Amino acid sequence: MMQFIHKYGSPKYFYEWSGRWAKILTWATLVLMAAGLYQGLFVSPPDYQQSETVRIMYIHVPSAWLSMFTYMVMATSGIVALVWRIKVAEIVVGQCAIIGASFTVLALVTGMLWGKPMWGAYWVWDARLTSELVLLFLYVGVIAIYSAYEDPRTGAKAASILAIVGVVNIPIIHYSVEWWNTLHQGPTVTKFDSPSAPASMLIPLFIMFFAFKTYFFAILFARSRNELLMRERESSWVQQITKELK
Amino acid sequence: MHLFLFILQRDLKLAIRNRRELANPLVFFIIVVSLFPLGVSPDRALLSEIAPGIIWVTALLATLMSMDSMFRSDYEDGTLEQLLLLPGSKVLLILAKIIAHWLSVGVPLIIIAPIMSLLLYMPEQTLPSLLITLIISTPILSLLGSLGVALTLSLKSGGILSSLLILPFYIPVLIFSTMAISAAADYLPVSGYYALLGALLIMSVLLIPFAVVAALKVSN
Amino acid sequence: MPSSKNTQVHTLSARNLSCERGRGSLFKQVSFSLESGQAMIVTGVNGAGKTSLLKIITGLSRASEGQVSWDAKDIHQHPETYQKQLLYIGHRAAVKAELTVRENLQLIMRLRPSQWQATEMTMGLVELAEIIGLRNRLSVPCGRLSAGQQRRVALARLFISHEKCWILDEPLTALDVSFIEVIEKRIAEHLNNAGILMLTTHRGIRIDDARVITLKL
Repeated sequence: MMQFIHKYGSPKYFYEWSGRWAKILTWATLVLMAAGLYQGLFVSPPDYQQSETVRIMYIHVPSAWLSMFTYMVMATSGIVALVWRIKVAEIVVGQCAIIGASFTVLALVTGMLWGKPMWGAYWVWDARLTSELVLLFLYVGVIAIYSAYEDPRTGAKAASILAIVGVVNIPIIHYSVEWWNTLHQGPTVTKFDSPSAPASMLIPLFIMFFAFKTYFFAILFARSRNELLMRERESSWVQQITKELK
Repeated sequence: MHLFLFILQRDLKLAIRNRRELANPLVFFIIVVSLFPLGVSPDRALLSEIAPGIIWVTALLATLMSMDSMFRSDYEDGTLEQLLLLPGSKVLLILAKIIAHWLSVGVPLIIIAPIMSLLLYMPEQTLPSLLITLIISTPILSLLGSLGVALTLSLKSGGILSSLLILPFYIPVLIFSTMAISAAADYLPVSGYYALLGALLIMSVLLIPFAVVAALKVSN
Repeated sequence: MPSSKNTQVHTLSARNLSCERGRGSLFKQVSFSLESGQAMIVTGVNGAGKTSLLKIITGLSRASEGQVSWDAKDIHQHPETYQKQLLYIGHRAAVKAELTVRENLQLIMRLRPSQWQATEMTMGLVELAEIIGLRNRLSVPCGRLSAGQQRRVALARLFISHEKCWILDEPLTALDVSFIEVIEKRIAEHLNNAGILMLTTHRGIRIDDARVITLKL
């Protein structure tokens, strides 16, 4: 296990294998996105209650789901960074914070666009949107502490501690917001399970899930490789690469 | 005397010697609560409905304001380094410091809050729930706040950043506490909320000190 | 004065320590080995990284590369054995301004690591105050003392220490000549008792040349 981590975590090795995967994943993303969007935007039927606006769901739901998934990846990476002090893990923590925040913003914006025709207001304090908002605050906190430190390695350690504490808190926050919401009888924007959604809606949704997932990994690898080059620019293998590029 | 008690006693002694600074968060609390009737409306029905929220949000902010004093003095004069170099687990020592801080800041807050609740027309039946939620929750606020301070101790912009980091974590505490008080206002059962808050307290006491020690090591 | 009960030989060694700060590195590939009875003086210009090196040696910070070992064991994997033998006095005096000299000395006597070895207190508080020349100031809050006097309180640790490894960052700052002599005598005693010493200083310090290794950053 230790050797596995050290091998895949070593900057040079990571650079190489993530480069190969980044290419594959980018193609996969393009294909899946195209398929999913086509299915979602054109082929699948409009909802009998919400008509065409339900199509926003095909972007909103996957991005909300990814915003959570990214936090898990960030926290896991944080544990690896703290316990084994792997530089690549430290970079991943920082990148996940930015990517996760972007997914969260996307989820919030699409949620607001969905809400307007449905409820007549851009923002409603429903459980899902409120949780996403709090998640955004958590991401902003991680980004803030990461960048507040001059030395990126120290910043990564502090950010990792925050991310790990955050991951424990997320279920608690969700639960408390749910409870708060049901008590105050708020509206729900994102329920699509009654009546249960037909296959023609679920299929594009699943395609979009996978599309977002491959996109996440593709962009994570691409950005991490970039930052890795920046940080390791003094080392010999990076000098080698820059020489070859010239 | 066990080192835990020794540190607790030392920090309390230091707090008493610095008692003028202790008053600041309390004054803040009083002034800000008073701002709400001025800024919103002195209408009795309105105020008594939003009172739990006002008291609680202001208590959160006052606690955050007081947090900086927890480690800053020890950090600046080098005592923190000495503590971190002691063999054995530092978790208990840090817990002693947090308890001392809560005693010097949280407890006065708990004492003043009922008086402020009068200003906001909070109904009498909510008083016990106000006190109990404060007693259970203010330690949680101190624990989380100390994590924020520990993470930002060596940074220039420490104070406001640590508040930004910790405020989202305060949300469950805020929600459960205010819901408890609102339930008490309608004579509904509150023990469920107390149990939840109690569970949060136990979890925080068991887990947060470890994170704080890790964060202090990073800051040094 | 505390005398050593065991005559075990200890080693403090560093291997290939590098310290990176932001854009560049402060120092690279620093290695050394110190044995009982040896002292190392770290020299270098301001900002060369002397304090950072000392902090890495104590284990408060971590080097970006390299390893520090006490008795051949990595200090981060076996922190307790090392910490029990470690006395660190940093730049900042670790003296609380609001507490009196007496209270600070009580703190010092209570917190020192060798307490954990349950050695009996070989010196009383008043005696300790006498040694650092502040017997008449026991009830004065340390905030009202001069810089030199505060440093004397900080250095009181040296006189009750059973620890074998002393790491001192600019210990002689603000001290007057007569007290510097007292400190030098204590250091010589420490080295005679199989102690190890590592320090930085801007002023000269008199230590038996045979025992001294100099490290320039």
